[in-house]
Amino acid sequence: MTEADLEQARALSASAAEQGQLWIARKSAEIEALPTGTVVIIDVATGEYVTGKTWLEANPIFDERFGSNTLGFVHRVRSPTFIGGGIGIG
Amino acid sequence: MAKLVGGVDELGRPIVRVDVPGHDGFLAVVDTGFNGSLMLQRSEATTQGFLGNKRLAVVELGTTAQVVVEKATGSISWLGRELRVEALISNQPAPIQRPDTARALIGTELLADCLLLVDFATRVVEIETQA
Repeated sequence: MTEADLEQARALSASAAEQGQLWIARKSAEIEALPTGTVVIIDVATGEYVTGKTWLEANPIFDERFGSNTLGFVHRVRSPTFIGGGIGIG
Repeated sequence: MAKLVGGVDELGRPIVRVDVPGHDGFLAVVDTGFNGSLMLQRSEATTQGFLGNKRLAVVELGTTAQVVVEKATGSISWLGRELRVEALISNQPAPIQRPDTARALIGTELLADCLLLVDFATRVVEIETQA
């Protein structure tokens, strides 16, 4: 992948992730009612979602229901992912 | 008990080699501030057979900045067994092209049920199952 390809991928990803976060916020009442750590994968285009205890469980369900080429946004209920010591202010 | 032995590199980072069935494997930094399993650069992920499938997530860095990553699934040989794992894939360009440099992170999800020893004085890293 060239730097231009990566830049394009980053722009598309940022836009899709933003849409995913909007869906998560809009459906927060039902999603936050799920057990802590539940993996939610939401169809960025429609807001429909699947859940699983882990990524390895939820992702094949999403593939089967919406197709492997469908953009999905992944959210873990009350369990953010930190890299390099994130402290969870946000 | 299975044990993986690595070292502390010249930049002061704990490093281990991760074997990937059917591929070359890669060097990874043990990042105890990362609560996932693996993070790979896109080029490394492709080389090691990790398949992304248009799944995105937001993660928080040590600076509290939030960044978008892709998610992928792949297999590694880990402490004596083959494991299907989730990996985060970064679309940032890899600034260091040296083949002997770690371009991946191992997080605490892979270290569950393990003892991690980092001896900075002797530059030895050990990860051992505790079963």
